[in-house]
Amino acid sequence: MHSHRATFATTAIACLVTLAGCGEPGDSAVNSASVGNFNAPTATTDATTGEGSRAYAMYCVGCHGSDGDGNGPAARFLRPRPRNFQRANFKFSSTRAGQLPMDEDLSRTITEGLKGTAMSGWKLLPPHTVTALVEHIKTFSTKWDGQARAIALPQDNDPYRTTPDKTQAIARGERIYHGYAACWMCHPSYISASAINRHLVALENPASDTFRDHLHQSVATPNTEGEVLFAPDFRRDFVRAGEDVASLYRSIAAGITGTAMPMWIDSMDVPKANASGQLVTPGDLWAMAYYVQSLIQQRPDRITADLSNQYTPRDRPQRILAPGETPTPPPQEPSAPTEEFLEDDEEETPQPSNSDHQTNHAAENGS
Amino acid sequence: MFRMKIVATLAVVTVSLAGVRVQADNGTIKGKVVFAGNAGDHKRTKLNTKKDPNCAKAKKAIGSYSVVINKKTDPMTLRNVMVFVKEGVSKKYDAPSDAIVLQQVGCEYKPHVITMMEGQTLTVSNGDDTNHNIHFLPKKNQEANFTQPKKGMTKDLTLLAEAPFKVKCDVHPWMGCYIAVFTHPFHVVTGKDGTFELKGLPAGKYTVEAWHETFGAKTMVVEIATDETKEADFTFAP
Repeated sequence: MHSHRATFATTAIACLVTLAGCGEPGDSAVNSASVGNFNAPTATTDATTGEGSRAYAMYCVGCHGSDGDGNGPAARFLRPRPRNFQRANFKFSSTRAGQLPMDEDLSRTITEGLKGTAMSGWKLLPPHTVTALVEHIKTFSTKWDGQARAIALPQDNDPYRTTPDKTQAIARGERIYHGYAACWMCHPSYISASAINRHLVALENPASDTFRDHLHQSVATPNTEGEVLFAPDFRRDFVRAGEDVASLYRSIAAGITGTAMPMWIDSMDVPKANASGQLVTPGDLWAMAYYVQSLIQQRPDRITADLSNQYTPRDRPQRILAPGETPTPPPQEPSAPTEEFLEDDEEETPQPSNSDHQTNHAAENGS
Repeated sequence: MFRMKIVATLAVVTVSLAGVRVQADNGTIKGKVVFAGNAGDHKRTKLNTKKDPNCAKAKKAIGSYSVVINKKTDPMTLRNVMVFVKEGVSKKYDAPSDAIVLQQVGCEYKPHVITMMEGQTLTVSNGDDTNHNIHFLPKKNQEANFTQPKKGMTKDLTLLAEAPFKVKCDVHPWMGCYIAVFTHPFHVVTGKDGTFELKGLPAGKYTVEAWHETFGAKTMVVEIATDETKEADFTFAP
């Protein structure tokens, strides 16, 4: 029953996308011109009949809804749910948590998408359409009216940018993550309790003899939309707003609006207690970003992606067998036609590359 | 604890002084917030602070704050109720220059309920050897979510006038407090005796509201003449 429903939903979405693709910009322009004859005020023309409105109706309504309330026809099938533009709580921005995002933040989310969600990247849209969509999204909430524009946080101060070897940055990041920012209070700890204590003491914090239960797992906290969210486990979960260091830095520095993730940019200037010098500097935010990136690189899909570049499928690590379980033979279908072809080929003209394949084939039969 | 009392007293004194300084009006609305329900149904419970052992170390037990009843007063009264003039103030008042302090001590917010004026400084400080994040969840002000990972960290901020909203700590889910911001100085929070007094009101007709985080709001219309003192009791009977 469920799968039936899901199939229907997928088809529906596919139809929407297809329909969207069919729309010709020229046609819509004609339509908007005729709508314009109804003495609509000039100010609202763009909001109701402009390019942003048309693009929104083509690409966004399926999930975000015609009223921008994040309740389109497909929304009920999606977790996490589509953003509600009427509330204007935008999670990913380069502004301090809770503040409205910059235009660039919204257009980045539109073009890049959000990994691990139904929000795909709309890289095929021309830049002027993305700009128009950003303006249209702002018409759904009064929060945008007369709001003093927030200032984007600085992003050009990476102290490790010129060092090709990031080992030092990653080590410093691990120290800050566990010893100062105590990220493991919500995210998992990636080191042992005694190692946490070492980092705590190094950063002038008291060591602790006990830590929270399930220290190496994430903690769930409610967000302002009333959903319960687990803090990402970077070795397992997708990071929504980009896995490059600059994006990770942005999320750590600015925080994530509406969720438990606070902004860190204002808490990174701590002098040493009993000596001159800095204990924690704003540059340490970048160290944390490099550390988190090093964790992301240990995620199974990243490892598999690396392995598939290095080995043939047969060389991939096998699943560990349960006691008493007999190994199931690997499926033969893909290799069968290739083998047939090779045997024919070999009889006529033996070549060095073919002899390689033959050895592989023999080894497979033996096992 | 002792320090907190001083801070709380200072805050109250400041508010009343501000009222006196700005104008010579002398009307007063005073009374108490009576609890007429069954106190046994609203016992405070020990909160589970296992998530952060540092909190358990700082303080042996933390009690729930959702309902605090003053059982020793006669009749029983409610603590942590905001009483404020909701409508009827027409004059403009300046914000007092003294800061209101919101402390995080022993993984609790002190005070638990804050009333302050628009433009007044709110100083948030961390007195714990643990990491706190301070997450404001207002409707009109902008949401804010910042951290104080070290003991002794402070941050000053100002707020726009807004009805009571919650402030929470996501790291310690039991931590919560409430803030309301006004454009006038006629607001107090009930304490251990459950009484309130709104001083320095000009003559007029006022809508007074008592707001409690669990039992909601009750309003009352009070009309006072010049320099008159009127008694008005609120009763919550859940």
